[in-house]
Amino acid sequence: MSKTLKGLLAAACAAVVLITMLSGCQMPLKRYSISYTDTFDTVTVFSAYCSSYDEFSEAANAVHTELLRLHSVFDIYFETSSVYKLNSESKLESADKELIELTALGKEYYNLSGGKLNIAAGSLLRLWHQARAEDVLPNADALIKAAEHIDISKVAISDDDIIISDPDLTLDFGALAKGYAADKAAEKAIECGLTSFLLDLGGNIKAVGKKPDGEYWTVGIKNPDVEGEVDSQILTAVNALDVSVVTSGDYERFFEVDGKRYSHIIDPDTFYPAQLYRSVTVIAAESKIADALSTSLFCMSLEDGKALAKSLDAQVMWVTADGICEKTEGFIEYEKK
Amino acid sequence: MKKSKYIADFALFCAVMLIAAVALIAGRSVRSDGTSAVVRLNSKEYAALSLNENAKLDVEGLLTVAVENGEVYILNAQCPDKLCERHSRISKSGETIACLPFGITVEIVGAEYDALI
Amino acid sequence: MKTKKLTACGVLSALAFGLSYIELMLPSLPIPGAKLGIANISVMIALYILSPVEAALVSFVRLILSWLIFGSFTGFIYSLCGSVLSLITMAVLKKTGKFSPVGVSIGGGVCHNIGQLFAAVLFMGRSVLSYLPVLLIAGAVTGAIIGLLVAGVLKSLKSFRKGT
Repeated sequence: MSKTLKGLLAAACAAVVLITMLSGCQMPLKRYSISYTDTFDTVTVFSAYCSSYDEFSEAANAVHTELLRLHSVFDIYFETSSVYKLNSESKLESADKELIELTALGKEYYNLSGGKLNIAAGSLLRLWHQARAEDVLPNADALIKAAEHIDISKVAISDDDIIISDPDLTLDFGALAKGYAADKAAEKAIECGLTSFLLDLGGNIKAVGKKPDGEYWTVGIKNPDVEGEVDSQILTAVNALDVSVVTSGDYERFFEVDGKRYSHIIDPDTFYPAQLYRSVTVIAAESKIADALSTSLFCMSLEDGKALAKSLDAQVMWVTADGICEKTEGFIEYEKK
Repeated sequence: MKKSKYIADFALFCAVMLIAAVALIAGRSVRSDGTSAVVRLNSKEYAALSLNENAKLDVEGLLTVAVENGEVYILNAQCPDKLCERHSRISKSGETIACLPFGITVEIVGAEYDALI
Repeated sequence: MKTKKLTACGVLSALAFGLSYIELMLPSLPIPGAKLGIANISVMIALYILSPVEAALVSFVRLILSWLIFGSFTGFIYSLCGSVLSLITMAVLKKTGKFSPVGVSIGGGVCHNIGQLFAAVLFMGRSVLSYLPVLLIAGAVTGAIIGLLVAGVLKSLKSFRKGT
């Protein structure tokens, strides 16, 4: 065999071997996932791309610990939770920093939403929680009575203390807590060095970074009209790049009486579940904003909702009770084509 | 310069290797992480396992499909050659382990959505 | 068919079957379908000292025998697809006159595996296509080995060829 030919063939073989090796040689980031069922009364799934299981495990534990901690602050049923103590004694001295933060946030959103998001509506919400458990509508008089004690101005923050001047007023952070917790938990994951993860806190999504192959974390939004096999009927999907996506819908925690569906989001002005929309999806940079907005907007007119979303730099998609889909311009840009 | 009579043979060998390398790369570049493993028996879907949960599935007593830390492999194969057991663990969408004698395949599929709300 | 040819076919078919039996007893490689294919030695000898027709006959008889004795119908189908493609390829490569038995065997080995993969796709779906790169490499390597063996055998059969 001639020398040049030998050389050529050797080079060809070397090239083949090199290409084959290189194709498998990038430091692979693997996808790991874990789920928890012990926080915020819901299923939490944490998925991340990490260079090792240990790295993932460390971050997942940090996330889980933070979620448990916040759950114990805000859970209204836990007798040892800060909120429980605050509600039963109508005051809490040296309250948790987070509780103060969220109370302040609640007051802020009360103003922003024209009263539609009301963390002081605990007494009203409690009646509906019970109703949902028993599948019967709450007594109309009881609702009116309970609604006499939802005046948020009676909730005051003084340094480290929270004081409620109406003894029958109880706080319920259901509209804000998950979003707030998702933000905090995500911070922990970032502190652990993670650059690509998705936290799904019972439908409250916080996504950070892109996947290693350059793809976005994809969030599918269910079609509220499809019964049963909802997983196969998706309304649309959004590319979640460093944003939070939250949907409030009447197809999650609801109950039916006489064929009529009652969602879990109560309009503080009517005392009854809001009936304007089937679902409201919000995309915002912070999860606490997305969560607060999805609840507020569920009870607000489209016009008011659009204005509020715009002022907070959030994108929204509404599915009205008639099944019509409304989207802000920015929302469309997030959608996967 | 005497040409070896094996030149054409060697060229053919290299050509095949090149095609194999290309096929390997082409297969790899579209691989993304999977989210579930679909088990098929004689081309019909038999079961689907999520890669998020560790699990073991006994397929008609013929072999066991195991999911561990997001990877899938075969155990307890009753086939004569047990090649399926010796296959490396798979986790990327499109990757497959096949047990030819039993007509069983396990393929990783990637879901379209990372979350559904 | 001339008696000598017939006898040769008979001997080669038996040899092919015997070789495939021996192959079953060897430890198998960690790749599905990556058999050494030593029975192919027999088929190739038939191809070189007789003709493609006889080679096909030897191959087919061996497959039938294997099916009857070892009982696998799907195995038979896979092997049949592999053998047909392999034989056509080998006959063509040999005809060009540019390849030695090594090259012909490489072509045969690779195409045998491609044929089998094709059959597997029909039975088990497109997912098995991921085995292609590995099968191509295995086919080429085992083909080369078998080719070298065949070249050696053919050399010592020179006297027989002169006599046909």
